[in-house]
Amino acid sequence: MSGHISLESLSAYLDGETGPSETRRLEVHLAACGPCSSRLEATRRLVCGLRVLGPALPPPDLPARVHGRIASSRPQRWLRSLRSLRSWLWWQGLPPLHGSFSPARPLVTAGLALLVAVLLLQNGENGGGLGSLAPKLPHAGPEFLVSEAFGEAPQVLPQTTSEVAGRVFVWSDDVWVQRGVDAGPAGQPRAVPARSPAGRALLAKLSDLGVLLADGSRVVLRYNYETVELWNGS
Amino acid sequence: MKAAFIAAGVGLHDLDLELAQRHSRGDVRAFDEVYSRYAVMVFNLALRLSGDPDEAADLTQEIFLRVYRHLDSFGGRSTLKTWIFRVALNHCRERLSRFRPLTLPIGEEADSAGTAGAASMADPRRGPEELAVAADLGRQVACALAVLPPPFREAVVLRDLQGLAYEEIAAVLGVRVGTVRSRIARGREQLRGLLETMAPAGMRHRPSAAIADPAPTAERRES
Repeated sequence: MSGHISLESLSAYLDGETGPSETRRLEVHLAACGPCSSRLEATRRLVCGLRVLGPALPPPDLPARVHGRIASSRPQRWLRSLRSLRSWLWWQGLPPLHGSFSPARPLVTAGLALLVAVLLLQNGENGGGLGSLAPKLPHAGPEFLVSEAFGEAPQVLPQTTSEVAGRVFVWSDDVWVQRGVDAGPAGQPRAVPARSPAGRALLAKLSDLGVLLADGSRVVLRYNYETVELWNGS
Repeated sequence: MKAAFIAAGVGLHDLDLELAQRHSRGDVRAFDEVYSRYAVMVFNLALRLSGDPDEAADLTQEIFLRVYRHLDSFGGRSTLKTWIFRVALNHCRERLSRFRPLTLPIGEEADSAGTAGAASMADPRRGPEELAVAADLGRQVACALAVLPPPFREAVVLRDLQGLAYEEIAAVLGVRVGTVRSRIARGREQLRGLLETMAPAGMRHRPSAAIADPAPTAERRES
């Protein structure tokens, strides 16, 4: 091995995250290299030192708070019915399918209306009215059907977003993509290294973008009527 | 090691899916089980990312609300632990606005933020002086963590305080293992530099110097 062991390799070795051949290679080097052994020891001390923080115990009232929050956050049935009705009205306002009368829409509309009617009926039977605040069991069955049938957003993990330079960026596998910008093959972005003249000019105008680039991430955004991909390079 | 990690996850995987299925069937005990298994983990993640115990409790509350709402969408593509970490991390990022300037905790606030863990783990057999040193060190480490750039802080917290393997961290952060490796190494290096700054030349007796010094002198080793 020429030179010294990289910081990344030392750190991974300490964590037992190097493969067998890399481990052997590192151990041979460490046995003969004082500075690398010292750096390894320093990293080991730091990691041990971090453990002084240990696991803290959550406040004892937290379980009650969590249950209370869950109970209070469940939308009332009448509110869900109202949302459903709103979606139904939206459906009615759509232009005709295929430019002419379609037999599909009345059938679907009738089905949806029936579903709303069943839901409202259930609402009455269960006594779930405006004033009902009683905790309920986790949602199941027909409530889900209604939620999906009326096109509410599917339940997925929330996106990680960041608002920088007056734009919203969505985190997507090492790339921050400006919301609304298509980074796919159809809109292939122009690569702009941050240290190139074009990159410098862009960063001079939108200097806050630097924080997104700081950890090696790329940034895709609309700039001067084109889609560009900015990255920390020259 | 990778094989061991996967093998260890096989048994847990079935249990995770079963918990999610029980929750979607309306079994309230399923969520309670999830809470009791992961509450400490989530609270500590929130605490180390926010640096404030009160905020960490609020964050934990909201995170478990999200878990409650979305648990039935857990499809078993990862372990439940990884999935919950992702929910928690996303929520913390949203709430803590990823690039807000962090302020160093000072005085009593620093005590509660930095040594909450140290205090709860304190060994009663240790003397008061030793406990004070541990508390001081805890405060300094918490301060240094608070000023690390978020990507590094997340990686270091997940590795060194939560004990996740690199592959698990990659799954939680949604990045490649190589990126995790780099962020952990750079995060630790920056942390060491920060702790060194906290123990300036005239104050080498401070606890942070003991873990920050890259190459202790022979003289100090002897003492």
